[in-house]
Amino acid sequence: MYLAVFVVAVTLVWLLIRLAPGDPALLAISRAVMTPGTPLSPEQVKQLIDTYRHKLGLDRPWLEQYAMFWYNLFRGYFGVSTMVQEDILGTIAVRLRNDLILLVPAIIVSWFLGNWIGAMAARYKNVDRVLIPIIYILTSTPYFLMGLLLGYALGVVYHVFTPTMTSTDIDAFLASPNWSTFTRFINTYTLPFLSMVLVSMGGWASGMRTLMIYELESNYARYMESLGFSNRRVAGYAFRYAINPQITGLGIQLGTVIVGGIVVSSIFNYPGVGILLIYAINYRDVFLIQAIAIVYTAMVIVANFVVDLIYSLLDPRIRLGVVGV
Amino acid sequence: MDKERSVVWLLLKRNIGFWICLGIVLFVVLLAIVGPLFAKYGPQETVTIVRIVNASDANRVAEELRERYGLAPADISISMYSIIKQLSNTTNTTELNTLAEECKSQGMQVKIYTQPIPRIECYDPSKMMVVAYIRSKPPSLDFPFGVDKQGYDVFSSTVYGLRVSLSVGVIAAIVATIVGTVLGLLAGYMGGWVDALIDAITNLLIAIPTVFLMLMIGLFYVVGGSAVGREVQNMVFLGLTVGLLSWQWVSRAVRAQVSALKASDFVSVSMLSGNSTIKIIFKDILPNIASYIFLVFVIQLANALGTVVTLEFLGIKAAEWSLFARINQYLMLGEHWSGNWWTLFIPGAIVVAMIASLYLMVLSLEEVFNPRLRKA
Amino acid sequence: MSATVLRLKEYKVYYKTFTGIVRAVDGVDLEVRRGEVLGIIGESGCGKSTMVQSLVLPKPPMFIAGGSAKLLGEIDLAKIDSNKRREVLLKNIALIPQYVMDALPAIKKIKVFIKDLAKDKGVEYEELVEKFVERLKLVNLPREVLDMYPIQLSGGMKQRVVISIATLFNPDLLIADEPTSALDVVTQRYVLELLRDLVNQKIAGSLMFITHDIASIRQIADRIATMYAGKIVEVGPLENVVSSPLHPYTAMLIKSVPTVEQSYKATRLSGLAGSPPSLINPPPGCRFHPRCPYAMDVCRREEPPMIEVEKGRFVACWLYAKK
Repeated sequence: MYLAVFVVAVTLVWLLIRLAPGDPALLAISRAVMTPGTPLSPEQVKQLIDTYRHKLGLDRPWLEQYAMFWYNLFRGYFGVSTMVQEDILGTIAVRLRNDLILLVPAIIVSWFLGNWIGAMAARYKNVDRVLIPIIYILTSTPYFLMGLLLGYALGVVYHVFTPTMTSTDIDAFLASPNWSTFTRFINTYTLPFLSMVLVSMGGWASGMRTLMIYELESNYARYMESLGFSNRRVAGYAFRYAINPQITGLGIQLGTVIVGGIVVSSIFNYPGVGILLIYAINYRDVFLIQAIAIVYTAMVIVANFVVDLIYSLLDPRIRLGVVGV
Repeated sequence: MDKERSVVWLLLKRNIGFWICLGIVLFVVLLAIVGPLFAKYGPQETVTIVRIVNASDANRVAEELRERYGLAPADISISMYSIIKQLSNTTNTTELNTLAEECKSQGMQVKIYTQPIPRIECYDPSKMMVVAYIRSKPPSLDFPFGVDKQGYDVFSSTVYGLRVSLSVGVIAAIVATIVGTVLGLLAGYMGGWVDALIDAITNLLIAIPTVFLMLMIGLFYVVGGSAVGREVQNMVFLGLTVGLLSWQWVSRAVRAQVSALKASDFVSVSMLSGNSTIKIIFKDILPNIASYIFLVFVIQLANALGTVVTLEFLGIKAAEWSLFARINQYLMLGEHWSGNWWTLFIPGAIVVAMIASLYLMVLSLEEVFNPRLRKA
Repeated sequence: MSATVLRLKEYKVYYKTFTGIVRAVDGVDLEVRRGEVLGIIGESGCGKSTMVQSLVLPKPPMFIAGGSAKLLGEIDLAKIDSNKRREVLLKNIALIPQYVMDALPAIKKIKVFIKDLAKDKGVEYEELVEKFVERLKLVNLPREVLDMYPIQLSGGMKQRVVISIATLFNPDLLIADEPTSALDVVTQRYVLELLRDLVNQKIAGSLMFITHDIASIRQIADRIATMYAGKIVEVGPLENVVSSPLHPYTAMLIKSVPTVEQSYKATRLSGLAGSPPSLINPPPGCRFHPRCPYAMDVCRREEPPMIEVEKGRFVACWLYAKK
């Protein structure tokens, strides 16, 4: 199932590039052509394009191109990038690692925090009145805006954290984890982390709130109350029920959350794929974008798989193979 | 039925939050529609104040402008007042001569050049031109949203940008709702392989991060052609792209509603009485899910707006003056932290207020329509 | 040990809704005695379910608007706060709900549910679970149920688990709110006998049995109370009420149900014309008068008082008050 999704998604990406108006080769070299100071004659341009076409195999039939595309994918060859001189995969791999360092803790923290806040809102009416607007404003804020806001407030106006990160901040910490590298890392890591957590927390909280209200009105909750269970216990059971759809939701929302994380990290120059992607878009670096799209799609699909696995372990109804009720 | 309707209305009337949200949404939409009428500057026009004054007054006027707008000396230039006219047609010089006569009659000094291209420069020694470049100004009476670092009036760029972003969002939401509803109806009503196929596509769209697809489509078709004059085309195209890649939730929701309805008694009765499929769909099913589809549309609109502004931020924009296209430029230049808060956050606050209001409206409506969510 | 387990006096339960206040239970006087099964019968929407729910869990929008509900002559259920009520629940008064099918939380093993119950009731888990197994034996369920999830149980089994839980602390008052409506006929009969047995064996001090089904009430009740539009209209020993109902409404209820002895041709079953009145603006006088074939002038003006026609037989109807 997951493999099929991946194949279709990658094929879509490939098709998009192939069907694009204009020659991908031309797009790929357009920057070199446009660079001032190196005037090229039309013949030279033509020659350059032909070299690229041949190098990329664009002069061969479609089916062969498609087969080659997959072959290259397995080799880890993603074509030629004008921005990244070394191999694309290596660059993305490092940035993927950095992104995971940001995404995994942020997703976990926001999910737990959001669910807790949502449950609070559902349980206490007074808290709810205050929390509803806050929750919904948080979840309505595009990730990059939250990043800008936090960065501006806590990085520029009040110098609590540093709003600009360099790859050495992470590398130094990973190479020799000690107090000084750690504080340096946290100093730059906090802002992207916080921005991401705040926005996605709003989403989880709003979902949890609705689910909990439903659960607290349901029959088992009423039954438990009429047996004299404590409110805390009833809420605990309701929470346990409501968490299942939230796990499914985690799988469903992963794509959005991950893209949001990538986007927000770019603002802080976080050495993930975000800032690379923005440059790639502005410089029309087609093959780099393609590589990022494929690698991160794969990442999202794998993450989905993991979430599904966790879910099936947690829900007795699935574990026991019982349908209904 | 009528009684229930009046209860719903009663509840809604009491829900102050709903009316505040509706007010915000209408205000933002109004801002996008009529805002440009009040904008003093075009979407790509910087704020510069040009005064032509008597030479003796020049310094005084410059000083006045400086004080009025609190400008640095470097932001004001005083230069000779001149009219320069250049001809493209190298042979016909009569036009130059008429202009020269006109200038002379106003007491100006005239210089005519014939090389390399014929042109005329008229100077008025008694007049001076004072130009004030207004940049990085916080909101004030003159500039309600301030002026940004590059000298753009933030109010003007916000209302024009809002027009673009809202249009793309609305198109995307309409497309997603229509496509999703049609596919959901088909899947829910027909069942069988149609259902299986639609379900497979829906799951695919849910499982993969569609933003990447939007990025690539936008990259080839929109950015590549963001030449002036293609904005409307770009808006429609971007709207279609976003819409066609985000109908999966609509389809899923509608499918669930339709299959529930299909199993209900009154649809069975309608089927047994020999009504055609089309008649059943339009007479029995659609009217019953109409209000539901409306809610779904509002949610789609909120989602689409979020997606559209994120795409703009990433560099996929329908127009050069899209709401957040300039923030993308700042980011590319590494200058976003030295920007002014009003540039970054006034448009941002408007968009967030709009999206949040849409969500909260749906929440209120759901609470009103669904007795289980009503909190007494 | 007092002979009266529960005494309701002028007991009122209202609902706050957006269109007005629904007077679901409007001044009920009723007594449940130790060792008896009191059946309460009425159409759906007459307030019978509200009345018993409010004793256990008066949750908004439902609220107790007045009167008293003295449990064992001392605890007034109409006035105690939620913490006190929580102590009384299950120990003195236990509910078997209408919605047995999804009453037990599906995601926890029965064992865990009992464990959490022990924690919240402040008793030892080992003790409680032994008691529970004892009860399970009583209702013919094996110990293995402990390790099962509710979704693995059939409807009848769930019902019996719920009964076992309800009787864990030998409550003085057991309330069964239409407990059999979701069950098939054979299981229904079994459950009814079981409930009767619980009272006979003194595991439950008394039983309030709520139903709209006169056939099941005949199998189980000692006394029967008829409720109409938030009021009790007739109370009496089962046999007397069934064989010679006094109130026209009770008579109509009984006539609307076939009995085994009746042959299909012999008597026409009569349905009830009309529908129950609005509980927001109940009709003045006797609430039954718009549907009553014997309605008189006085019925439209004044509410009939509850009078004792013979010992233990009460009725609220002007037909008898005149005498």
